[in-house]
Amino acid sequence: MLYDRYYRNVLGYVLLRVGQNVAEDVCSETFLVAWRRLDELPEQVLPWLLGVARNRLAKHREVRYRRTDLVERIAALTSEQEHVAWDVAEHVVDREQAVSALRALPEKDVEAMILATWYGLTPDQAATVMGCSPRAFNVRLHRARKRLTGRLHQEAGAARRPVRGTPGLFAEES
Amino acid sequence: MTDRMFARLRPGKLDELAEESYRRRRREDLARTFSSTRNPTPTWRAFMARRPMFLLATGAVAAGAVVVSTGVLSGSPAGRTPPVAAESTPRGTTGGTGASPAATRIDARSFLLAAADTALREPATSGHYWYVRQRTTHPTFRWPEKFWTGVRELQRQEQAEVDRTGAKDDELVAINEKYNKKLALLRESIYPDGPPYKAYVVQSEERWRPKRAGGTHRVKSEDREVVFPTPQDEATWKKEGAPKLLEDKPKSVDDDLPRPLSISNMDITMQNVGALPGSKKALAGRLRARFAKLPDPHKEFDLYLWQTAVDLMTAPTTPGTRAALFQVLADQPGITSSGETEDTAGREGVSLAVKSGDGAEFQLVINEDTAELLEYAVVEKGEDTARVTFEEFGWTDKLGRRPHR
Repeated sequence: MLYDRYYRNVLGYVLLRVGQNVAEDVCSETFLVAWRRLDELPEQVLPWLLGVARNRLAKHREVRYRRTDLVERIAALTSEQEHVAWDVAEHVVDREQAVSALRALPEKDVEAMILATWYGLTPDQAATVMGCSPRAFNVRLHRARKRLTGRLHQEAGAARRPVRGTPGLFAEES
Repeated sequence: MTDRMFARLRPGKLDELAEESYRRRRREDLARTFSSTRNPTPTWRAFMARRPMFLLATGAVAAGAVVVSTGVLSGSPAGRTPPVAAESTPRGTTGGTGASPAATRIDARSFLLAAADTALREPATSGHYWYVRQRTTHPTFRWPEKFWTGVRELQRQEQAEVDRTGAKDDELVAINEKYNKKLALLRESIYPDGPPYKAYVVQSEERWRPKRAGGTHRVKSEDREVVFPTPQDEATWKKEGAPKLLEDKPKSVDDDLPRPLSISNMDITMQNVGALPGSKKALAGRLRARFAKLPDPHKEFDLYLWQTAVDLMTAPTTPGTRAALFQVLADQPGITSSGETEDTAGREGVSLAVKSGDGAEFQLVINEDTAELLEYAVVEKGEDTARVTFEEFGWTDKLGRRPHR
């Protein structure tokens, strides 16, 4: 069912903005909205749910859309163990450098990367979530990748040694 | 490359928190939801979607997903040895160190063409879940607490500076660079000669990918251990206070996100991987077009192809697609073979390798009899940065169950 299938996905997304208590409330509201509009739900439910959650979040007083929020949340949620595992395993740049590189990106660009990479959404689906046109989303995504790649290469050179991107293991090992 | 890196930035804690909230809030949320409606009956049915036993059923599944016993599947015995690159030096019956580059090149091509024929003879199979069990080795290290205190302080300062001044992109970049230099200095101040010991994390992972869109995907990690390449490394680690290099608990995560099978090819999914071209020309055309679209300014086709090969050889591609893939690989001048070798699990195979522009070596070990991928590795300066051994893959009809062979 809808709740069982998507609750964790939606909550994971909301958790990138707010702490667990508020996130749970936002998530409850999101599913309440879904429940009330059950007859109108599109075939692709997840992007729709994420879009609703995003709108609910904007209405919460606790959420400031400062550009730093998202990256700070990622940094805060990352366990020390993940830093450890990342640090030597990848040899590209360190995890903290990678997170730090995200700070040079506008928040919406980071969000575009999250929807495409962590959620595997198509540009159409991700545009639904972000409330923009697929074209605008594509521009964002393209720019985000370009900037991030550029930043990472600079940092890899500056920080340790001239390494390039060693491929990670698999798509969802993060 | 950037997408792959970014994909790994996703904090694992998100899954834990989401699972915890889900279990704690479910009953209350649903009660509130159902009581809020004006026309309960028909809508309720749709929301519940033919799962009358949901409370019990999902409760049990959720509990089972979190508590996974270790040792259910022990890795292959050979998988427990620290697979350092030096130990996996190819035996080199056909290529080897003495062979000229031209000779090893010919070996790689003829081997790949033969593998294409073999792949084509393997039967096509099907099922509900595509199962992969792999054993992964990668280096690990733990920085002392004072490093993390320093990192947090730098992050706080950087943030404050961004809040104060960083409105424009170039300012942000400048601030970012400044703090990365500080970070490098911090690192050097703690270990001027680099990390004092070497250690590897060896772990098994089982993964079930649903064939159906929206089906449950499960990934389970187990049998995790730390190994040291030499007793000296272990002694140094102990001298450093034996910092914990591994989280104790194994992890199992279920979700139903749409997932690409290959980060370099975001358009390939479980639903369409079986429909990839079965001819060399069509597959090469498709991969070339995909490569052209990758945004990485430092991309190299050889490496892209290596990654794609790893992803597709361990996915439910048709025998035709696998054969075509070997033919595409055979046409790559950069791929060499150093002949017969053994993988970490002690199985015989043929080793293939491609070198990147900066000298890192990307290896594949392929079973000569079945043309299946046994292992891949990334080796930098003679040391493994990652080695992944595929112990088993195939179709199964049930989540949590291994394929029948």
